[in-house]
Amino acid sequence: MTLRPFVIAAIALAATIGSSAMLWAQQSAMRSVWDGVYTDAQANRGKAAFEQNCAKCHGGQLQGMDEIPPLSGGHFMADWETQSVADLVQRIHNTMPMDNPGALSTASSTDVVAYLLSQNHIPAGTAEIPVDASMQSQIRIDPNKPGAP
Amino acid sequence: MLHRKALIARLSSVAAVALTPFLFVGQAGAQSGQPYGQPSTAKGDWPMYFADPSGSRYSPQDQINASNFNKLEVAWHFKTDSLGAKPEYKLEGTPIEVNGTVYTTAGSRRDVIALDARTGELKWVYSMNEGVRAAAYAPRQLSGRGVSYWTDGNGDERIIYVSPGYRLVQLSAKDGKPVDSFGDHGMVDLKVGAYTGVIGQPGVYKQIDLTTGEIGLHSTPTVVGNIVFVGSSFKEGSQPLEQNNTKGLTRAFDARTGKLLWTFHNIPQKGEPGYESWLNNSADFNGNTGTWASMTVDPELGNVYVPVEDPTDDAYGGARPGNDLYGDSILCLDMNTGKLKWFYQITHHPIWDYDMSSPPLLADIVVDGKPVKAVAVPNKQAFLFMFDRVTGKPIWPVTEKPVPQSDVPGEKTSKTQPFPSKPPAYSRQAITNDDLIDFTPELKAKAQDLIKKYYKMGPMYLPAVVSNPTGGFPSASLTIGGLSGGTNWPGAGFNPETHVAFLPALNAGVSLFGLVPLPEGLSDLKYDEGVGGQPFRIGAGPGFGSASDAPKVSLDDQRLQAALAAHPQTSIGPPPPRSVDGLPLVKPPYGTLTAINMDQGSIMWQVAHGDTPDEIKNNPALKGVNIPKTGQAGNVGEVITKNLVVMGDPLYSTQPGHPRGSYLRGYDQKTGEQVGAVWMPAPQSGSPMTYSFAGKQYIIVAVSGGNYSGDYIAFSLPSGN
Repeated sequence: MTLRPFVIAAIALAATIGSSAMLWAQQSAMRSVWDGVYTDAQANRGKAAFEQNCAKCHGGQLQGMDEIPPLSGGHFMADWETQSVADLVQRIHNTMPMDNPGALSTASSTDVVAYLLSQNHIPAGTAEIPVDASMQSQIRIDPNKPGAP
Repeated sequence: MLHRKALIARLSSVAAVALTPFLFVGQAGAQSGQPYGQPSTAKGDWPMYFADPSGSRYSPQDQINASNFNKLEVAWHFKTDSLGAKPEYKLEGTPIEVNGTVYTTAGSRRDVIALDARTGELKWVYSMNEGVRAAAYAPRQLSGRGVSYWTDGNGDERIIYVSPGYRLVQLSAKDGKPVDSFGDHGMVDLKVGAYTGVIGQPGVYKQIDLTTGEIGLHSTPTVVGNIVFVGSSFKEGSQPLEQNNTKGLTRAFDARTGKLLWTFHNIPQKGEPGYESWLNNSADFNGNTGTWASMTVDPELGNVYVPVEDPTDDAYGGARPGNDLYGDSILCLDMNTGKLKWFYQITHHPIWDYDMSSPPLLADIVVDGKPVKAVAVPNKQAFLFMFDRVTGKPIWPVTEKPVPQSDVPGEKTSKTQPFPSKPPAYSRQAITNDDLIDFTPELKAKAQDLIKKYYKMGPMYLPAVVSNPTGGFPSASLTIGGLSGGTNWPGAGFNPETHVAFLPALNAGVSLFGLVPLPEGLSDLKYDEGVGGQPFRIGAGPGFGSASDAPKVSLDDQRLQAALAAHPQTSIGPPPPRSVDGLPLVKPPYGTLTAINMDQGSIMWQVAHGDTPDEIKNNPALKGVNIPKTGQAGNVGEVITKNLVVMGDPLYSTQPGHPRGSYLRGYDQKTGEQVGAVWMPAPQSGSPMTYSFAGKQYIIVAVSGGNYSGDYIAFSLPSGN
């Protein structure tokens, strides 16, 4: 059947509005790290990678040392709040550990971030942090659960 | 292309590494034909790391003042990402400025840059690739703390710095080219003359390997007259693997030619005074004891003032019984001969990491109506020791008082330590029950329980304990100020017109000192810092191994892995916690700024520096609790102008109306009142400086941290103001 031009235009317009709405919905679909964004299994993999690569500078308890920042607690959260998981993963992947940057693949760096979240009392969920950077960029690091009283 | 191992082996056997400098050649400064003469803060310059040879960090500028500080805007900024093979997140430099050009270090390869002082335009870059000497073996990496300047006053201007590979390099200030007549085509190999053992004893004396030997420097050399004073520094961290480490040196070189003028042995050789303070001839086989902070100079008296750090093994001194001169001492040396005029040891038999952490301040003061040429020594221990800088006599009485003694096998602590009667301590020196977190009674009780379970409390100078291998009490001694201060590397400053010193301090630097035996076969050291029941770890410094082209596994870690392969270690369980529900163990203030009247030896005012951290402010557990401004924990430095002290925050925070960031604050020198705060995109990581050029005053501060890579930001007032 042939559609009248008006209908075609209307459908086209609806499609445009629909895709814009989807785009808007995507952009405002930032999740918080408090939304159950990693799994225990992922954090355990991250723990192993952390002990191998990170603990020597940041400490076995993530306490830092002298000028090396701690990775749990207020200082860490102050450094990373409002940044995305992608930012932290990229920082680790590109510059850490300091004596062997690039040793941690993006996947391992993501696992390490899962471990860091677990050590900052952020609860696990049922799905892993994806390795896809664009999806990681949609997860925001919040020091406290948003909307907490 | 050689395989990496073969390349390292090849380079190790070669005395001189082929350097591959890169130079972007521009021209610095659009000067008139007249030579500029000697620069000075009076002329509006900032010609040294700390402004002038006295270490004041003071410039008499007043265009930026209390009435307009909040109007400051970014005049220009220089982002450092593209310098070095990867961006640097630890930019600690304080630039210098002379007659319209800013000079500083930047980037993970410690490049030297020259910028137009009005616009930040890049005029030239000097970059030297030192290969593995810098990348793998340099104990002090990344961009360091800046550069120094020398001129003959007649148009010959040079920039001087110490490279990561520990070379003293001189560049033409005009175009950044190495000065051919200085040293070996522009450089002096500072590793030549660095040694372990005993001079004059073949087989015992060992010149360190020029590629792999451990010695380096972050701080700037001090240039006064025609002399360049250079210190020495070693690996950060508290797990050395050698007792017989490289020996700390203080040296002076001719500024024109690079000729070595003199060497002072921070660890005395046999026959030199102080040797006997190391019992059992232990001076022969100990090291470190370097000069890692910059020196200050009184050219009228002809003296250089030298701050000396700890001997080998910050927390255990069993292999160096005795007072260990000149560890943790301030020295007064003749600037022309290096001869020792006087010294004062601030901590006897150093085992608290109480290095002399910052440049001594040379202030002319008036005590009881009489003028005194003084030297004031800011410190990690938060005592501003003050001496007559001519004689070395303390200005106010210092009493040797009994202090706790160590029960660690083989350790023999000094029975007493010096306590000055004035000025009073300006930040925490010990942790008592009154210092514990007290936002709520429940939190305080948790802190008390935690300490009772794991940590030994005591007064100042509480020594380390052997960390219980079962993980119980005592895991460590609970001390404060040792590792991070007090006042650390950014140091302090003073207003020479008012005789007031301004001391930044970290007031929450909890330092846990527990000792563990090293893994079998790893080292001759008996104990290093560690946690009982946990696998031994070598804490690497934040810059170590981080330079461009760093190889895969550090030498130390290779040795450790080999030792652990032979004798594996396992963890008995989670180590003891160090915080209370994620909150700091001690109560605020976490960071402070203190004004001390040096004429009277009294504290004028003290304020918390920095807004309350977000994690405290927004913590659900603390909702409803009234918490005054806490200040922030960190090590930051200041610049002092005619009426202000200016210092940035060490942490990010989110304040109403602003995105997350940090703040550069101005304080009234007389009252400590904050007169303004301007937003910065990241925390201060290098101490600020100020200069005036073409009628405009600027403040430059280095910021970096978290997700924000190094950036030099220059603030000034809006045009027309």
